Amino acid sequence: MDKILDKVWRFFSSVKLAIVLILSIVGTAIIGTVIQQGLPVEEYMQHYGASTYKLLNFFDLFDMYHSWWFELLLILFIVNITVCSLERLPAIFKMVKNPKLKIPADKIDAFKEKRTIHYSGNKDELLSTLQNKLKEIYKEPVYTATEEGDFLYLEKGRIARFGPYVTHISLIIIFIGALIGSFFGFDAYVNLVPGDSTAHVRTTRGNKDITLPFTIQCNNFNVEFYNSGMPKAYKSDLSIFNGDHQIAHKVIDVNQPLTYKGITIYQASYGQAGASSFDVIVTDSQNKHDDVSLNINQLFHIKDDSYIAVLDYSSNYQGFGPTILVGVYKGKKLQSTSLYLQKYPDFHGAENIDGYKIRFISAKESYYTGLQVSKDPGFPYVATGAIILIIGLIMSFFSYRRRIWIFIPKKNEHTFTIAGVADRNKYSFELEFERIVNEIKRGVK
Amino acid sequence: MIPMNHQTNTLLLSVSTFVYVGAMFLYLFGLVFKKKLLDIAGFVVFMAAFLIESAGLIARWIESYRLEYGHIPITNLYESLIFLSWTVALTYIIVELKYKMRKLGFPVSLTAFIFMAYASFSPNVNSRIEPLVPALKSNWLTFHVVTSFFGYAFFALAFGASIFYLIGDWYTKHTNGKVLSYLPSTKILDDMSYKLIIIGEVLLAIGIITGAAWADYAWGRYWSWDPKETWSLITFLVYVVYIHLRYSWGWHGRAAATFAILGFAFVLFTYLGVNLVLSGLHSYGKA
Repeated sequence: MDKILDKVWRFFSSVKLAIVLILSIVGTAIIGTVIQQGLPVEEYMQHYGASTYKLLNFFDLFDMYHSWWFELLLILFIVNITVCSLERLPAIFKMVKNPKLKIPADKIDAFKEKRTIHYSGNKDELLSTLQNKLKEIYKEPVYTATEEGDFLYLEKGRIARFGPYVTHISLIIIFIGALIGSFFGFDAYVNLVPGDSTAHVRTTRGNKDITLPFTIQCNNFNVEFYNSGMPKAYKSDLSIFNGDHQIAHKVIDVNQPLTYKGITIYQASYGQAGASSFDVIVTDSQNKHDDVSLNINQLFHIKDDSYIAVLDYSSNYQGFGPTILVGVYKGKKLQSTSLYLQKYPDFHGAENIDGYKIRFISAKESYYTGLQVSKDPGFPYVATGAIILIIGLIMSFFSYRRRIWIFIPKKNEHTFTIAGVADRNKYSFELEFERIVNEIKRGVK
Repeated sequence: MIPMNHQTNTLLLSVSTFVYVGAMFLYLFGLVFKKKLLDIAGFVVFMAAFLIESAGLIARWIESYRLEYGHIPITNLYESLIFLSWTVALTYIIVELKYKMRKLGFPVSLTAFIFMAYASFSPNVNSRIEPLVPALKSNWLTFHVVTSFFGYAFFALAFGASIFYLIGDWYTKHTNGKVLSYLPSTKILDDMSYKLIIIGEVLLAIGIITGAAWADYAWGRYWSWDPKETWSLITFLVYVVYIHLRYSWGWHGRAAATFAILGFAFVLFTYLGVNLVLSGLHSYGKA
């Protein structure tokens, strides 16, 4: 049993596995960017045909980032990182706590960076010169005396040893945050017309109903446009009610959400809910103007038993812009209909109803506001993890551990050896080592 | 002083495109004729092109305020191409001042020129200053785009250094140990390519995180597997593999250089491919 556990542990502690898993995640993640995710079934059927659809659907390729096998890859990756860190961290703590202050004389020959320097003065003098010089140009060395001779030890960039583990732990924290979010959070939406209120929202994935612990009321919704017709800003005036109590109120904007009790309401979208009223100028045969505002289907008396009413509206009728369909009634019976275009008042200008002319000025369009309602108790973990990730990357990349030993043998009174090694950045270390050697040569008699 | 009108920025940017061409030829002659003076002239002209381009970007920024849109010029394909060439140029200038590596000037000025020319002359790229849709009106925009693009720029330079590595390495191999005198040593190129990649990786990580933070702030979802998000993560992971191969398995030299060159294909696809080929939130490519 122990043997099996040991094997499993060793399997998960390998860098090879990490590379295989990362490449698998990369390879499969690409699929989901080529096949559009989360479209309605009919669209896939039309695009791929029934049999291809069945095959792709079997492998969950239409929602692959939430499929069991992709999630399994992510879980294996996290287990891999965790085991790697647990496996290596204790040794690193030990190494940092008990640095190798001395190395066997015969091992010095194996170093790539090493130099033997001659001196003529006496040994104690040399030692203090070296100590002062190193303190000045690099770092205060640690002194150790052995049977074979004296050692000076220098170390820099110790923190870099922890960088990879800080990075790995940050990924574990992000993963935990994501899990908390997916188990205890939700992602939902609701559309509201000004004046409406609701406590019910529907989840974005799965379209399930969720009852909020409060009611959202949309007091007002406003959208502004640029001249090109592109939306400039859209804002919802929202109130949060607990029963009859208003407990929060805010005008939300696309980048300005409202948070209450851990649930955040975002301005996600908007859409047309039709037009609420229409400004129309009615001109009679004596050229007398009458500015009127009509609701849809509201009858307006012209004369005798003639009435008009706006029956329909399009914000852009066949590319001609805002247009209304006006019905003419005789004794409350619909007689005829005609179109009035806001941008082209002359289009129907010649047509008149019993000597009356109608001009369509503007429509007060009513919109619904599209709200995204989300709760993500895992977010603080994800955010913390992200910050730690950056710290970890900086620790690992922009610092590296390097160690230098100076060995002054008892046997030979006139030479000493300086040797060094870097965990990474061998080239930068080569330059640094060269600089230290030159400084020492200059300082030693 | 240049009169400020609506065309000043595009004019300055077009001029800088041609000045980059000048720098490119000087660098090319420097490579062919091995004259140091040509390299220095190349660098001077390159700096001039960079300054004109910077002036163009600033003029465009000011112009957007005059139009009352008021946004940093990094919000459509035209501006992003120009901004990318600007970040590549600035990154090169920093590397040049640190490493004295003028030879990299040729591929860099060529790259800057290609991006500028694509922006200026392609009929598919609209150079008008446009107002922002509400979702883009956020301070995250600047931070997210600037970090991501400098990440791309560092990867681009690593790509260039890696190609030079392979050229130098190939030359040495086929001439029984001679070195190409006009390139830095392969040891320096290998180290440089690695250092550029780790800086690029940190910047890309910050770019992804600021993008996620922004998405959370605007839409309540920090990650939604949008193609751009997914591809930037894929690119990040590709370089994670590079770093682990280097740290744990000691990959360097030819293998690492080849990997860095292939890795850059992922950067390019994340920047342009996603917008031009795939669909999603970052859809400026549909212009």
